[in-house]
Amino acid sequence: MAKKRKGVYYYDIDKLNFIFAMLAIATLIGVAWMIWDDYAREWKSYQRQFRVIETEVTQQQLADVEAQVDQQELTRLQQQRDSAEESLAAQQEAFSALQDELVSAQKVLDQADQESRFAGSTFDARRWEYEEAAHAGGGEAPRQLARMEEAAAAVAETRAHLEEVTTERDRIQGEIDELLANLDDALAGLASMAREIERLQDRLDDLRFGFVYAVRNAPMLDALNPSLRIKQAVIDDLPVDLNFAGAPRVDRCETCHLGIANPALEGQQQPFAAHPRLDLFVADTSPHPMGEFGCSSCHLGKDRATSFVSAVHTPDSESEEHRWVDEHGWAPTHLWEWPMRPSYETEASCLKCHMDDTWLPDAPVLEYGLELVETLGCYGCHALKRFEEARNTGPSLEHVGVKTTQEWAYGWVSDPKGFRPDTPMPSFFGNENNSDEYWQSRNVVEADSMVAYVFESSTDIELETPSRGGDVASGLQLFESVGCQGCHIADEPGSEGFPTDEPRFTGYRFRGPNLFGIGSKVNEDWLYTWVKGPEHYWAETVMPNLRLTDTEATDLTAYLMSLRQPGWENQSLPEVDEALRDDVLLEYLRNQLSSVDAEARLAAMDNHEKRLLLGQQLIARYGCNGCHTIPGFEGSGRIGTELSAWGSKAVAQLDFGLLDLPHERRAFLEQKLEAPRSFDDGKVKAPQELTRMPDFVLTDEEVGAISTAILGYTDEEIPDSKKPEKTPRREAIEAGRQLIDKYSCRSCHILEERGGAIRTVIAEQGMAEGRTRPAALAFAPPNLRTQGARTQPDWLYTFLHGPELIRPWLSVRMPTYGFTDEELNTLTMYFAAVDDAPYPFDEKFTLAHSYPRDMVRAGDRLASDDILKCFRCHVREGVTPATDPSQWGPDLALAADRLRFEWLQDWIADPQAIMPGTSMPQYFTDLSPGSSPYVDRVRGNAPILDQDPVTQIEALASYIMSLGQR
Amino acid sequence: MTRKLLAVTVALLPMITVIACGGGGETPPADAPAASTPAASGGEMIDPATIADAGGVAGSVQFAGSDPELQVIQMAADPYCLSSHSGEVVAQRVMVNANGTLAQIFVYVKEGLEGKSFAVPAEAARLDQQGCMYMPHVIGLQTGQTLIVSNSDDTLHNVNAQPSNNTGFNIGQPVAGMEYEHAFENPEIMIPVKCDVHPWMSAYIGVVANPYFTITDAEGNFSIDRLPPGDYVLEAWSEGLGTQTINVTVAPNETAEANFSFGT
Repeated sequence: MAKKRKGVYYYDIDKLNFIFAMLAIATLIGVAWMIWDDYAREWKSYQRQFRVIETEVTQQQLADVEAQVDQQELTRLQQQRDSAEESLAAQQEAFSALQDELVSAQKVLDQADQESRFAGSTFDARRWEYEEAAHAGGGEAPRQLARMEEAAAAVAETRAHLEEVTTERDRIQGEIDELLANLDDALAGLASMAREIERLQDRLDDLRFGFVYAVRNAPMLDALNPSLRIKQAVIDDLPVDLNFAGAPRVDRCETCHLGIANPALEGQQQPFAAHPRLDLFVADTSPHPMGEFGCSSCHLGKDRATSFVSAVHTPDSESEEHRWVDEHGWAPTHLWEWPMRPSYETEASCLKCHMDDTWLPDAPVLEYGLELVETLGCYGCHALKRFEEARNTGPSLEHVGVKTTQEWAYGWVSDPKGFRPDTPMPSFFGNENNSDEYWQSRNVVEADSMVAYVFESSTDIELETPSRGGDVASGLQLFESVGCQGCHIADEPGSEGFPTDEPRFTGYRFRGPNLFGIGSKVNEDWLYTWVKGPEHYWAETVMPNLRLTDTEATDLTAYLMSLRQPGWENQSLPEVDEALRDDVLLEYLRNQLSSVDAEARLAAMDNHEKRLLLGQQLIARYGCNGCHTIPGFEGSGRIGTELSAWGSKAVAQLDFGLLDLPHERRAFLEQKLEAPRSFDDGKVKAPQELTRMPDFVLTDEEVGAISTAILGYTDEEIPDSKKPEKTPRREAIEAGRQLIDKYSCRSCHILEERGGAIRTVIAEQGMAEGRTRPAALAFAPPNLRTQGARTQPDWLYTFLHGPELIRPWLSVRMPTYGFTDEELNTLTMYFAAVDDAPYPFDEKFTLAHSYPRDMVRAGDRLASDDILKCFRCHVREGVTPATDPSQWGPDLALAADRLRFEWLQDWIADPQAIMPGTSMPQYFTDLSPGSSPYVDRVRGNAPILDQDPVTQIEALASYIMSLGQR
Repeated sequence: MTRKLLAVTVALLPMITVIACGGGGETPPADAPAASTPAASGGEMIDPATIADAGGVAGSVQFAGSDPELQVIQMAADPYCLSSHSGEVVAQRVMVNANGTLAQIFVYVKEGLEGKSFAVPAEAARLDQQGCMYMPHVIGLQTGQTLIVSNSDDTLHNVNAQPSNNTGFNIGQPVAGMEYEHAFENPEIMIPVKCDVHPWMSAYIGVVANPYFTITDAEGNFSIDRLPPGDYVLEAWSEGLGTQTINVTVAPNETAEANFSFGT
């Protein structure tokens, strides 16, 4: 029916209409699609799913809370409310009358108050007029005085009236309150019972999918006030590093990780799970609330992203990667320098703020990695924060000539793991890039020259010689009892006795070298001199002096010398290819001289000189002096790259060589640690261009931990407000912890709930003798819990300086460390700081060394054999009790100089609370006044100190503190 | 045109109001909290006294090994202990009766009562220290049941209970007549008790979640009564000889037989 329009048109209108219509429809579809695409975001579907989950969880919580309601209490409150309302209704008339009365009383009161204030003002005015008149003189004064007195009388009168009406008003108010008291009480009780329930019900209402929800979140309308919305935390002072620019951190992770702060969602599927450590992170009550620290400051990834892929999630494993590819279309995001850390690496982020924390027990992988860095001595070649002041990890070689032979040393340098598989000394020879035929000969030349240099530069020191042959059996007995095993193993790795309960390298019992095969390494005189006083051979050693007698040292030496590795005895130095040595030396000489001069220099040297010069050059190349003191290398620098900001190094700056590795920092690092020289694979390099990092032969776990630690070293600048607060107490504790690590105190003692490695050995020995485990552990070095609160700083200082015998029944000895004054002060301060005890002065032992006589006497009676019988177990002024030594307690006469009075009382009141498992029993199980069961049995059961347990404990402590002073 | 716009605005207005107000529906006033369900903690509650067709299990514990060497206790360290015995005292480790059976074997129902719970007995069990020995040497308790530790000796004892699955205690009882009360919350076979002053003193406490436990007598016999009919695993524990289990089926109103035999 479409008629052709009249007129002449250049275009065919119908056709044009059709085209326009099509375009309009296409545009409409395009706009609709655009709106939909803008609307249908990935995160919204998570939020919708989460509403369902949160509804279920909240309903469960509501049911739990409702189930917990005390029904009896509820009924009682409801009845109280109803009866109060009833009785109020019954007295309705009286109540209304009272309310009316109150209103009129209040009116009268307001009136009286005003009058009183006016009277006061009038008085002030007249007083001033009188003062003026009196000052001016003349006859006006008496009249003004009369006026003032009149006003004063009015003040008194109005005030009396005011007080009267106030009392009346209060009376009426009191009556009303009384009538309402019952009702208010009931209502308040009901409200407090219903509070949590109301909160949960409100939340459930908010979570309902309904009309309101649909409208608020409809496309376009959701611009106004949607309930599905992006959640973000803005952290201004931890900016995101965008290369040369920092942007405020805007973490939108919670947009999808919706249950992150809700403890009820622990273990939920991702992305809805609660953070696994809400005690430490995210929660407002934790030390790292989300509002202050965000998420990406630790986890990394892209802070502003709101989709799975753009957030730059990193899979933990290949199987997870495959799953992500299928479920989310995941692919690695290039050009974002900070992909999220895989979960096993998250702890790396702790380091940037906790660089000064000595121990990181809540970040076990990082802590292990840092310990490995320390034990393996990575800082010997690579400068690293935290380790600027660290001591050499290997022994001094200044006098190595008196300790062992060149033959043994050659074998050791060539293949240290061959002599001792668990040594931290790495292998320099026979690695990926120096194992071919040429290098096999060259390795011999190199190792031989290095050993020659070290022994040539070694100086002699005097050694003592045992005066007789030692007894191996007594030596073994000493080795197992005095405490050597706190730090040393003497078993071949993998053998039956080799401990597996601690990691090799960093375990407390691995602090000193494994002594397996030591007899094939050192000579007897050296060993005898060493065990008698290690500081003689090496002043900086941390090996303490065990105060061995000559006999003990002789026997111990005999035992240690009996530990042999036959394959390492009677070795000879290798045949060296002299022509090759000339070539190698020439190569090194050419580094500094022209070819002509180098050749002339070579020709002028004899074989010995060549050997020494090459040795010196090689020691410098391999950086042996990074771990060992070697004469001639004092003050030489580190040969490796500084690693203090390695975790921020751009991936593009890393040379992956020809290796097929993912281009990620971690992949590079792990390869470097697993096979350090593999980066030379397929490369054409001159001998001195080859990678020289030695092989530490590490396990996957060790590689992972070290990688995590190194990745934690970043160049981010963290404001002090985000770091742990630096208080004097904290600094004292950190300084002490560093010394504890340095001297490995935890090999024997439990400190801050960790350590005491030697206890395993002592427990095994005791159990082999038929004791129970707790009884066997009575012979272990003491747990140092509450040491600072327990002992006086003066005593502790003296004790650490020169230990005295406290527990004579122990065969394990507290050795003498050559602590400096500074170290002693640091340690005593540390102990006091850990327990927050007064330092250095405490009134009880600084000012008042005498305790009231009647208290001492009462304590004496209580402690006696008639009542508490303290000396059945405790040594008393050197007199030991009749019981088995495993039941003995310390000499109570030592208390006065050693213990703190306050601690002693806490200890007597409840020993288990201070030292769980102690054999000191609890004598006072009830501390309420008058409840003590201990009466004076000699004096006809007369009461002692009114039978008050607390006073009796104080008396006991007073008596014990007085013991040493008489 | 203007009119149209007005119409649209009017139509949208209530919607916008709803949105702008946050759409918070009115919260119904929280009236009284809903009624609670009784806390069902331990499952079905059983009273042994009212089981209609209760059966039981009885038997003896034989000893197949050679008689253990008797260990005489040296009490000389404490004159009080020494004077409280006229003859020799031997350690109570493996007690072989005259008829070749074993005394002091702790027998209890280990499995078969899962999902059932039992009232905590009102009467307390007593562990006494007499003549520097624990009386009895082996004692059974139900979880939550009160244990009274008392001292009849006029000498210093400490009672050091070292459980691995319960809260322990170590109390001093230096004078006669002292008493201490304690209850263990969790089942544990067995909790060792010792005295640090007298190393020979030891006792064992068996804590069981049900009332079906006993200790063999001087004839080596035991019996456990008022068991609901069913299949059970019975365990016998001996100090020094380990544990043994037996499967028994208890028929209604009948006493099943279970005989253990320990070797050395």
